[in-house]
Amino acid sequence: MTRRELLRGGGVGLGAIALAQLLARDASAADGDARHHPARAKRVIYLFMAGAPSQLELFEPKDTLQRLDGEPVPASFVAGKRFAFVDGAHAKLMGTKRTFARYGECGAQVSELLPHTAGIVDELCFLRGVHTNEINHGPAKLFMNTGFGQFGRPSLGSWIQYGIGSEADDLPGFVVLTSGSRGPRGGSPLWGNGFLAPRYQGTPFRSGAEPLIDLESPAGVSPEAQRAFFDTVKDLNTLRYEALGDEEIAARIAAYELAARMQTSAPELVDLASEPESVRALYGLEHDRPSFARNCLLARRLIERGSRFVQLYHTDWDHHGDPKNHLGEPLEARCREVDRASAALVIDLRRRGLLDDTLVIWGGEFGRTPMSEVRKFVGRDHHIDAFTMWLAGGGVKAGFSHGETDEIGYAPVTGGVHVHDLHATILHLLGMDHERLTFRFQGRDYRLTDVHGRVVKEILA
Amino acid sequence: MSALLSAVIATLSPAPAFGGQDSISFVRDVRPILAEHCFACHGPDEGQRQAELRFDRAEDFTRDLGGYRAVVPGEPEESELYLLVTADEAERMPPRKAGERLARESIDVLRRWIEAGGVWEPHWAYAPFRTIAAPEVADESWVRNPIDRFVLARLERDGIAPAPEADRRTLIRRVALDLVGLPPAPEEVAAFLADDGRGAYGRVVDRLLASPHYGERWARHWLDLARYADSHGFTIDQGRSMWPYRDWVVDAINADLPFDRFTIEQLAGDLLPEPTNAQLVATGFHRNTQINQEGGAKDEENRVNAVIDRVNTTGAVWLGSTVGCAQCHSHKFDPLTQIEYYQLFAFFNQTMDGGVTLGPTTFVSDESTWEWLARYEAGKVGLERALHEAETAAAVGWTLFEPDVARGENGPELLLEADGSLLSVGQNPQTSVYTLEGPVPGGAGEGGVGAVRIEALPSHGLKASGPGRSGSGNFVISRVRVYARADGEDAAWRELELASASADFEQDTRSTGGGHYPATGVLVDEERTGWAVSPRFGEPHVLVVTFAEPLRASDRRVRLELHQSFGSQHVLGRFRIRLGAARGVPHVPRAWPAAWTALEEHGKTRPSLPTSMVMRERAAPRTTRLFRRGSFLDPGERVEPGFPEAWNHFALDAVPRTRLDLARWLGHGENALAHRVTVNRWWQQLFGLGLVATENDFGLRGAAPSHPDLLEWLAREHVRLGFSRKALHRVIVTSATYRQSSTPRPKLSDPRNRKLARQARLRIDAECVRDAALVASGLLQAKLGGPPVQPPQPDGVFAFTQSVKNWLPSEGEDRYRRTLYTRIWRSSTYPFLTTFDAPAANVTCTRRIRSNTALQALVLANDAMMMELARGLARRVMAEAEDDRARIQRAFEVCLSRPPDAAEEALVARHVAGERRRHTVAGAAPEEVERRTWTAVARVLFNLDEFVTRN
Repeated sequence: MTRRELLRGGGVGLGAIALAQLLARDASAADGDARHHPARAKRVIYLFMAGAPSQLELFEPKDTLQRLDGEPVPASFVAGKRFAFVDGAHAKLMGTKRTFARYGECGAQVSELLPHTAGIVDELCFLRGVHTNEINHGPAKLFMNTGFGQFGRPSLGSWIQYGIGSEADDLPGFVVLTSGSRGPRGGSPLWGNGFLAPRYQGTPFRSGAEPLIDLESPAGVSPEAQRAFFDTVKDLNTLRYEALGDEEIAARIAAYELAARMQTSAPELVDLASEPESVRALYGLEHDRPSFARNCLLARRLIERGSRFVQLYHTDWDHHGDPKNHLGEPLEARCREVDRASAALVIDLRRRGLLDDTLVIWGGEFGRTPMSEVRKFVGRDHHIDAFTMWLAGGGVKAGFSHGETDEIGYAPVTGGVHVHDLHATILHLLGMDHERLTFRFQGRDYRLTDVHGRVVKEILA
Repeated sequence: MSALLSAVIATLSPAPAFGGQDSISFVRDVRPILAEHCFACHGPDEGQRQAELRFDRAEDFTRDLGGYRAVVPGEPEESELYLLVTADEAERMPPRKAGERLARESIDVLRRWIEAGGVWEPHWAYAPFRTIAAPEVADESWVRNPIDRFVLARLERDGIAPAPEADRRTLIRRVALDLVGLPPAPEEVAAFLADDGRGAYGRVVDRLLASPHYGERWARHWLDLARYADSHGFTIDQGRSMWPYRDWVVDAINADLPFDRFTIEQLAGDLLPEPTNAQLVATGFHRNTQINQEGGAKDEENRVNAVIDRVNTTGAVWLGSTVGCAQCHSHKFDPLTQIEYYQLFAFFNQTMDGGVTLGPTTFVSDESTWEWLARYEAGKVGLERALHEAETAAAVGWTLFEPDVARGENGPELLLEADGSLLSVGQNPQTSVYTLEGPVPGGAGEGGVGAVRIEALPSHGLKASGPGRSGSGNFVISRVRVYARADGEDAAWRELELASASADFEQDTRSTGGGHYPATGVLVDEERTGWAVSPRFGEPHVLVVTFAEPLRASDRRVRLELHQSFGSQHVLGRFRIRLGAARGVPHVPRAWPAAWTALEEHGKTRPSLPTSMVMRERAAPRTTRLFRRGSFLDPGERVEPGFPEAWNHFALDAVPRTRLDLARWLGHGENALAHRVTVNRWWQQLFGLGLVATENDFGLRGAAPSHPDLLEWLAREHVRLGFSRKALHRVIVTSATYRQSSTPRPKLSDPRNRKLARQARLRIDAECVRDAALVASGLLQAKLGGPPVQPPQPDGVFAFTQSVKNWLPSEGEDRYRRTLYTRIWRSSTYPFLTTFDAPAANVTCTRRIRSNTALQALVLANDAMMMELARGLARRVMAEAEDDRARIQRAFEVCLSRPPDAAEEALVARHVAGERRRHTVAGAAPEEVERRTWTAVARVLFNLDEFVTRN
């Protein structure tokens, strides 16, 4: 049963209020659509590299940094700066051990670690001067997601749900998928609704055949028994609705109908058997066990079914120099895990004609220092002044690079993009003005971008 | 302006609270317009203020602005305010870029107000209490208590009759869910139906108010405000022991601790004279802030964030105000300046906790251990006395130096203990300089003060019992410097020349690859040398440093610097300073370490008792400075504690200095705002929406109260009833207003029920949903209090957190405890609770949203825990009733407090028949068929809208 059929039928005269409450479908800021201008993107897939990959090993070769390898940092760069672990005054610069080459018509430089990404550079828009305010992972992830380094604010995906709702009939509009050895630091507040209604929060999908908690019927309950259960509950609730006329009861009846549909639609979503071998090969899907590649394919299937915002987290990019986290093998492993699938997602969206109105975002919560952090192995510390992200599709320039950092990659020289600017730009691409998408809470009109943010017009296609 | 646009803007403007009234009220009609359209540039924020014009204070309206005034009473055409909002496009206020222009209706309100005299009145929420008389009503027979007069007067004015009283079954279920959070047992319903005497309902209410479950129910509301959780939060999110605080709240509410005590003990119980253990536990309210244990997190940043959260939470909970705006700049709408924000900050800026350490905790014990503890404590006192005597005997001729300033560089806190020793706690620094400053002790003049004696003391909290904080228990004093000065702040410090240094023992481990650390090392500026004591850890050692010249008679203060530059945390963990005349090589008599060891051995016999995190004031005060643009890296001018001017309309005796002063002010009977905010939140719990709908914003842009006089009456009644929560709740739930039917009345066009022409139908809170199923299943274990429990939850919940928590489902009674006791991990709250809108315990939550989602349906329909409870209900129904009909009836009464009607009974009977058919297969035991059939029925009942609804 689709939502439209439900609207027509159902026999209980469901009101608009009831439907509006379901999975944020159409239940947005203006009770419809808060688009302030024509949208370039209809949906977003955000590939979040949790832990913060090193831009200097992946996207930002710096001749001067190579030359100054082992030298102390010029004091002018570090005066008054904060670092998480390294001692800024005594740290030494470190060139990268990775080799780079130019690719595509745009000639973007990409590291040997990302051969598949190198193959799609003409689809990508690099932001080389992204900067943030927060130096530690938890607050920085919150900042990248909510524009604020403490708990309590709504996440980007929630704001988008609030602004323009979702187009999914049988699935949540804002879905979170994770891969890696553990969940991202910060947990549920990263996709939380803050002070917005809870229906705008992200729904984390679990890996495996049951993506949502309690999606499967209880043990020993057959499909027929489950149907009979839903029928009796509906009939009894309908009697109450007829007696009291409270729309909340109608909403609950509709919620149970949707729950019943999700019991079918969600397992179908995560069953990748229907994907042809060529597609599985494109993503590098060797098995159906949880992986970043599987999540990329799921993300495409979700947006095909109307989800508005799908966010993937892949963890363990925090390469300080510990035995398990350094710029050698661990970094290579992370790149192997995400490179092919990230590129495959962009290629697959392009082939299906979805890339033009789907914005893909790739990046971490901050970058890593030009200085080395020598523990047992070699790594780099957290760096908030400049790091690289890439965008693709959804109305941004393809084969384009915005911003440039100084000769050691410490800070942007031109084209700095603050996290607030990134947020403003994402909302802009979706048709929303970040200064007008507001919610009044405790007497104040809150925005995703607080009192900051500027649309990065330079990258708009 | 097109007619359409004008209509749209009109709907954006605040409508008068009541229709059809001619007189203009500044508070109700005028200020909301000014707050919405003008305050951003002409309000309290001096940083944004334009043209030196502000409309949030009385004096500014009629001040001479150089030949003209904002308001000339009676003369709109001479009033600048009116002229500017009606000026030509180019001149008109507010400017186009600042926001929406005023609607014609709003301009009209301003004109009429000025014509009527333009009288300014204080914002209703910030004003002192008004005297309120309950209004006359036509239908006296409906009135049960004064609440009803306020409500009925407004209904009669609008020509609306109140809803009829709810039937008795609905009424007892409603009041039971509201007061104790549990549905009534069928027997309790039957007893209420059978009690036809006068006051039957009142007796039910009294029974519920006396029930210990009342404290559990209302504690949960308070714990939302307190952002209570059982873990530290952020990314590491380790567990913490805070449940004694949760139990304190339950106990305090059951004991009906009056509002002022309730406030004072939680905000400043530690500052009361000789605080009890319970009063210390109460201060856990503000220890519920998160701790970021992430590597690389900075202690001071953590600490400042916690203090900010405490200020903001206090503002939201007691003052119904978003004070947080003023962290970065003066508030744009409400009269709180940035300086005033940091005056509030200063109250909370003096506590010991901070950084990534747990900070101070207190032990909590139950009654059975009290007696044992008393014996233990008595033994301890004796041994402490013996130790003190041994220490004193070893220091004959020396006088204790009691510093009033004790600072540790690079993070540690130096706590002055009762025995005059200093304990280094908190961050363990690589290197540090301990600076101690205090008066020259009286009586030390005898023979002149010619030396300082540094006693390095063992402590059980240190590695190898210390005295140092290094990994081995060692320390290195690399340099000692001593200064003295005469009286008076301006007197200059004079560094004393040191003559000699000697110790009872000096480390010389060169033969085993170590080093030589003689006492004389403290006399030279060399980082890697100094005095150390390896391998003789866990015992006291004494260093005496003599001065070239004794102190002068005019010297009044001494400053001592203990430089500990060796590195790798070679700093003192516990030590004591004495001053005296220069004498020979110090000696530690054997009786001293022996007495210490005896005390330590005694300490090991103490049972491990649960702890709770508490607030303690530190000895040396911190200076509070304003943070420019809210950044703690950019401190500005110095501020002292103080109350915000706009809310400070009554006087306390003394100049406010401490948290205790703040707590007394917040809990004071004349703090009208705090009482209004409090009773409004209670009303919200009992009616679904507060009389002030914006329960977290009583400021100028908040909603006006639907019934201003009723709110005022309730707040004053709260004071009159001695701050009793139970007494005021009794007044509210026995009112005719509360007892109305909740059936919607769509014809009144009042969907949010602002007129109170009925009760509200409310989806019950997350905890109540599970508790109701526990009650129905017969499995609820009603035990109160104790450590958190872990009822079953679906697998894979921790897949989304950094660290996987060990969630071993509780067995036995802890599996079926009230949901209040379920362990709360901040990074992944019990999913059942989250699904039903329980707040994440990260920031204070003043109102829960009540959503209605498909995910809730999935949980109630499919969750294994719900199925377990459904099996319980099935067992119970089968045991308590014989045939199908009686069992259906019983199931309804247990779950919904009422029997089914004929149509419902037929539907359930149909379901029973279907299930029975399904389960009757070859070889199925009849008992098994019945068990499965009635489990299916129980499952249906748990999933009814009515089951999760308070009617």
